[in-house]
Formats: sequence, C-alpha cells, structure tokens
Amino acid sequence: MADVINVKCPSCKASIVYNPSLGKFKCDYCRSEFTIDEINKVQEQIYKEESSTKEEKDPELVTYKCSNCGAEIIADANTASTFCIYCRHTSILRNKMEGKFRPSKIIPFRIEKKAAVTAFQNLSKGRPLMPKFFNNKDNIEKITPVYIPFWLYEAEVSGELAGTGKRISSYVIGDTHYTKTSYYNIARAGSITFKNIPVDGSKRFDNDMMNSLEPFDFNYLVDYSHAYLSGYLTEKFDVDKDEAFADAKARSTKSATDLMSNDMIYSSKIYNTNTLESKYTKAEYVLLPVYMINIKYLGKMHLFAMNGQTGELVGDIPTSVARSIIYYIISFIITFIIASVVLYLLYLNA
Amino acid sequence: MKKIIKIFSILLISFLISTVHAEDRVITYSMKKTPETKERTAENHYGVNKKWQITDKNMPNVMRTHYVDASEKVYDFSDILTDAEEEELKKLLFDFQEKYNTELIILTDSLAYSKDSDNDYYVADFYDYNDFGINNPQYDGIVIFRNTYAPDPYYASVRFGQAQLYIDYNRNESILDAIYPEIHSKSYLAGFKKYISLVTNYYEQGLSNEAKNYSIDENGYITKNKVPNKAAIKVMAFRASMISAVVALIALLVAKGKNKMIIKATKADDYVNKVSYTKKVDQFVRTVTTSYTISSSSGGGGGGGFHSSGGSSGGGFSGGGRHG
Repeated sequence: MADVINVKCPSCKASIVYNPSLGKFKCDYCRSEFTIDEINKVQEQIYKEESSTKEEKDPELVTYKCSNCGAEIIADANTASTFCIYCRHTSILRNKMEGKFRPSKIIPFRIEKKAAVTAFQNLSKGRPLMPKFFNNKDNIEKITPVYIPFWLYEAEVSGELAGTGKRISSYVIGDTHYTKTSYYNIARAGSITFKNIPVDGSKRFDNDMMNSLEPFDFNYLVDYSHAYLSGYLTEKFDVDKDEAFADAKARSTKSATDLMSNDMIYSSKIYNTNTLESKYTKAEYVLLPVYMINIKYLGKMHLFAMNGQTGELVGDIPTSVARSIIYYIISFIITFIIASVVLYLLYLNA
Repeated sequence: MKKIIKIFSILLISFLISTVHAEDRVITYSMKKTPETKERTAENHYGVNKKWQITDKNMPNVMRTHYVDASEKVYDFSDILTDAEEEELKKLLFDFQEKYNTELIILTDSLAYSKDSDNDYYVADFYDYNDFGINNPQYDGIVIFRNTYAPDPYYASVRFGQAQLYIDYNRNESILDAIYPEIHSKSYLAGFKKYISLVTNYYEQGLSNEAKNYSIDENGYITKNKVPNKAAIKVMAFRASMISAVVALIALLVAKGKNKMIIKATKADDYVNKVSYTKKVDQFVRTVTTSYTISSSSGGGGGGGFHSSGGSSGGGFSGGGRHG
C-alpha cells in the first residue's frame, strides 16, 4: 500500500499543486490546468501502481520516503501531509487520511501565499507597539499553508428559560415624580438549531485562535480529495467529536439563552429556571485552510494564523517595551502641548 | 394759691424742657454740615479734571452728579451720620489713603432706582466726575454707598482702578455679607468702620493668586494678563501633566489592544439556523407605584470673576451690593 501520495501532472508527470487563484491544479512545468476530478482520476491510477516504504521508529514519529527525491521524511503522528525538506515536494501521507480520519469536506485555499505574506507585512500598519522584528522578511517567509482539522456541528438547544420581568416607567404630575414598576411572570421554551458551528479538532492549535479566524464561508465546502492537500501541510484531528463539542455546546447554549432572553423585552429580568441544553445532531469532519506563522520573540514563540479563505489574520502580537516607552512619551508630549494650549486659551477666555 | 404755683411750676418746667429740646435741635442743625456742592460750569470744565472726555452723551450725567470737594471723604447726603461720626470715619479714610494710595469714600443718598445696577452707575458717576483718586495711578479708589431710598434701601461697594483687583468679586461679596447686620440695623458708624477694617485687611493680604492674572488698563477696565502668573502656570502645568498622563496611558492601552487579535468566542450567533418556540409567557402579576416630591431649586447665584462695568465717563469699575 502506498502511504505517500505524490500528486502528479496528468500531462507531464511533474509534481502539481492546487492553485487557489484559479481554483484548479496548475502544472508549473507544462502550464497545464486540471480540475479536481481530472486529478483524482489520475491519482487513483498512480496509487494502484506506486508503493512506498514505511518504517515506524517511534509511535509519535513516523518516517516516510519522499516519493519525489527519495529522502526520508519524518512526520509526527498527526501530520497528514508535509514537505520534503530537500526538494520542498509535498507528500500526502495517505494512511493518515483514511477511515475515520478521512475528512468529508474541505474548503480549498482561496488566498495565495503571496497575498498572505503581503497581509502579514501590513500587520505593522496602525500598530506602533509591534516589534520591528516582526517585519523581518525572513520571518514572513516562514508562513506556511496548513489544512486544519475542524468539526462542524449541527446542534439543537432546547429547554426553557423562565423567571420574573420588570417594566419600569416614570412620569411627573405637578411637582410629584412617580415610578411605576410592573412585575410579570415570563418564560420561553422551545428549540434553537445551529448549523456548521466550527470547532478546531487539533490539540496543537489554540481554540481561541482558531475561533478568531471565523467566519468561514461554508458555501465553499467541497467534497474532500487527497489532491487538494498537494502543496499544503495538513493536520488530522486528535480531538474526537464528542470531546470537541464542549466548545460548540457552550457557545450554542449561550447564544440560545441570549436569543430567548432578548425575546422577552423588559427593563430587567431575573431567571429562576434555565433548562436549556445543547446536543449535536450531526458532526462533520472537515479541513479548513489556514496560513500559519510561528515567530520567536524574546525567547517566546508567537503563533499567527490567517484564514486561507477570507484573509482574516489573528494572533497576539508581542509589545515592544522600548516602543511602548517611546509611544507613551510621544503621546504625553503631544497631549501636553495640546492641553497646555487649550488651558491657556481657557485661561484667556475665563 | 398752691394750685396757681403748681400750674406755674408745670408751665415753667414744660417751657424749660421745650427750650432744651429746641436748643438740641438748633445745636444739631447748626453742627451737622450738609455736604457742600459746587456748581459745574464751562469755566471749571464742569468739575471734571480727570482724563474723561465730556460729550453730549455723558453731559447730562456730569451735570446731575454732585460736584463736591474730593478731600472730604464722607458725603452724607442722607444725613445718617453725626458730624462726630463723620470725623471719626474721615480719619480712618485718610489713613487708608495715606497707606495704600487708594481713595476710600463713604457716600449716602436717597436715590430712587429701578435696577440694582443704577446704584453702581450713580456711584461711578460720582467718583468719575469728581477729583477722587486724581493723584492715584489709575484713579484707584473704593466707595461704600448707602442708598437710603425708603421703599428699598440698598448698599453697594464700588471699586475703581487697582482696587478692583485688591477687592475682587469674592472679597467684595464677603465684605458686603459681613456688614449686612450693621447696615440693615442702621448702625452705620459700626457698619462703615467694619467695612474699612475689612477692606484694610484685604489690602494687607495683597492680591489674591487669581487677581495676579489681571491688570487694569488705561481706562480702568480689568484685563487678563497675556502671561499668567507663576502660580497659574504651575496649576496649568499640573493639569496639563495629569491630562497628558491619562491620555497617553489610554493611547498606550489602545495601541496595545490593537496587538491583541485573539478574542475568545463565547457565542455562536452566526450559526443560528432556526428558532421555534413552544411556549411564550408574559403574565402580568402586579404593579407597584412609588412617588416623591420634586424639590424646587432656589436658583443659581450671580456671576463673579474679574470684569469691569463701564461708566458713562468711559472708565471701568466693579460694583456689587445688597438690599437691606
């Protein structure tokens, strides 16, 4: 069984990668373009013919041979596609993406690496406290496209929200001010369904960071094919759907509670019953496109991510202490000058 | 015979008593001097020796203003002070002039007025169209005026020249409040002495920090100094520093906040698909009404600060007074 997939051009057999701008595969050698169906047909044929060797040396680290140059590729247990460090060729570790690990859908990258680099370069605009180091070209070149495993949940929140509501109105008659407070028994019961709540299925990535990449446009979900992974790193999930649902459960329950609460329009509300509970009715394993960049600053790693579909860039930028001090001093001086002028004008006009 | 003697004695005593009272009245009349006034004519330049221009517009004011000897200091047209009291006060007023180069004048009159400020303008004319403060740098002087107008007695303290800064609005208000009991109870000697004492105290204290930011222009108007005094500069610098420290800190926090792009998602509003209710309850239980009476404010106080009013002469002055 061939464990490493080398996506090859149906015309010239050179390596071929998915082009986000075209939405197709394009061969850099013969300039041919192919749809996913055309690539899949050829890949199935190659898969039957090729074989690769696999040596397991460590339960966490797996060694493969690059199907392009024959060099050894070492990947951890959750890496599903990776680059050969010698020829930069993408190797898709097929066995990592089979069975329950085979995603049902994927959103292919829509933003090219060049655009991602530009966006990262623009990160410093309007951020005076960002260390200059972050604009270093060498750092930006490290930006890597990765398919991140996500669970997409369809969930239903059902139950009841009940309590007491108050409506308060005030009016004045003559020299008397009246406050009228009306009390109501209030309740809402029913169900609220949610569709495609995404939850990151990899422990490697911070959930808050992955949440910050939202929203993805799920209208662009397409059926999964190994071929899409060509040219990209890929992770497989290591958090199962039941475990990952905790995040979606909390979010959906909060939204449902707010929706029901907002439907009861009162000056103030106190709830004594809240039986709302979230359950998922469907969980779909998908791969979503994200550019990742990990930058070391003052001995600490800072991870940034960009939505490979929308270009949304997230990450916590470290603050340069020197720049903070300069920024504070400059702000102080500018404000001091303005405040002094204003106070002087007020003095003259007082 | 006894009856005749008794009647004669009563008549004699009555005659003697009436004679003594008549003498008293005569003595009082003969001792009390009405303030002497002079006639304003073109020859004496209508009595106006100050720099004020006499125009058609202010001529009526000049002509209806008492033309008095400016060295008298006390002008009791309402006749509320005895001569002895006047003499006692005059000494104090002369001492004040001697020490502070500032006129201090006591003026009484019965003046029907429609507005409180009419009193101030009357005093301003009286001061400006006589030789008060003629030897002082900016005609510096202060007049305490008692208007004995019976329907609505009033008293005012009007300052000219540098006196507007030494006795600023706050100090003047404080003095007017302090002498109210004596003036209102017609203990005029005590009231005027207290007034002189309080004015002297403030002159001893010198200009307030705020007053140091002001000057008197050539026409006697208060003007703000372009360059604040040291105390004011310190206050301004302190305020500017505080504002700048806070604003710079907020700017720093905002800039720092821009570096934080990861926000924990707590809701899933974007993924709501369908909402269906099986129960909606909005059941009225009861109403409670509370009330309170709105207390009406007695209204705000008058203005203060440093500013001069303009007299008919064109010179500035600062007034202020009380009913009572």
